[in-house]
Amino acid sequence: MEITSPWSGGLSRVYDAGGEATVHFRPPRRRYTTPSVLMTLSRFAPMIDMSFLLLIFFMTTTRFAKPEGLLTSEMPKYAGGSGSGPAVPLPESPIILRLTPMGPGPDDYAIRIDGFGQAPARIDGISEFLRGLQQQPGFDRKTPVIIFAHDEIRWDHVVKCWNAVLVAGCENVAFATP
Amino acid sequence: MHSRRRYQRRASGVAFNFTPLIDVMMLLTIFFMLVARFTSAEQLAMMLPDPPDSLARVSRMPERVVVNCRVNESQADPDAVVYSLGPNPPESLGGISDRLAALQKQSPRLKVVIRADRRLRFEHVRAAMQAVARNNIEVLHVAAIAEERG
Repeated sequence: MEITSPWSGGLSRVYDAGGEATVHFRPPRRRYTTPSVLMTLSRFAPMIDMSFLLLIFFMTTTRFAKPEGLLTSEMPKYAGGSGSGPAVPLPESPIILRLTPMGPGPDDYAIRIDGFGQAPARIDGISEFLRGLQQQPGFDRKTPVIIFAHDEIRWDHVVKCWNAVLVAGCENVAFATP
Repeated sequence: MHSRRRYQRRASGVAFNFTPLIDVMMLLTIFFMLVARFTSAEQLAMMLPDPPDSLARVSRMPERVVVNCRVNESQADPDAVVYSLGPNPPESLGGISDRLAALQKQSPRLKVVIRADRRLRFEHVRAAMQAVARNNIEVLHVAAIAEERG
């Protein structure tokens, strides 16, 4: 005997075998309905959330500009008057590096190292030259380097020269005014 | 064995939803990162010296005062210079020196950073250095572009 029930979604059958009745129930099936657009979109909400959060995170953390750093130097003690003349005497055998303007342009400058006529006149070769100088007797990393910068020289060149001296490994760098 | 499995408690349908927690954590992280960036936003925009193979070190000093030396863009003279103490309005070097002296009294371990535009002439920066040296501040820090280190 077969019984069909409209609410079960399936067929329930009853068999008579040896006087025992066995009944099988099937769970009602869900009726397939096409999901709405809103339902479909709502499933993507966590992904969109995370995408936006990651986007904002990387936008705030990424820095395309180079970071700003500090070069440190010791100042000479102030001697009073109009200048900041050093109160300490200059060392006997320093390497004296002179930055002088050579023309009207902002990049017209020359570098001269006292006592070394073959020294490079541009900043590019200063580090290598000073490294070579440190190998000569009487010079080492602790030999003072004094930078005499002319007032007309651009600050950029002064800092580049200072950095080049530091790159050469010189540990004792000072500024002076001609 | 079979019976034990039969009587195992089924997993309940209640689960902890981590999504709002992650959302809030990310928002807080971004918030504090932005707040931390305000300290650098105080620094005035200028063209700092950019030496090749820069040895400038990125460091955070707690008690530091920044002396800004900028090119006055509003004036026709390209060599016109403007000095200011941190984000404050421009003032004379004498005024900056006096304020440095007052700050030096408050905190003797004061550190001074000179941020100077690379287009300036050395005489302008030297004048700022003199104003710093007048207050017996012995260690001077100069701002420059640092090399990116991976």
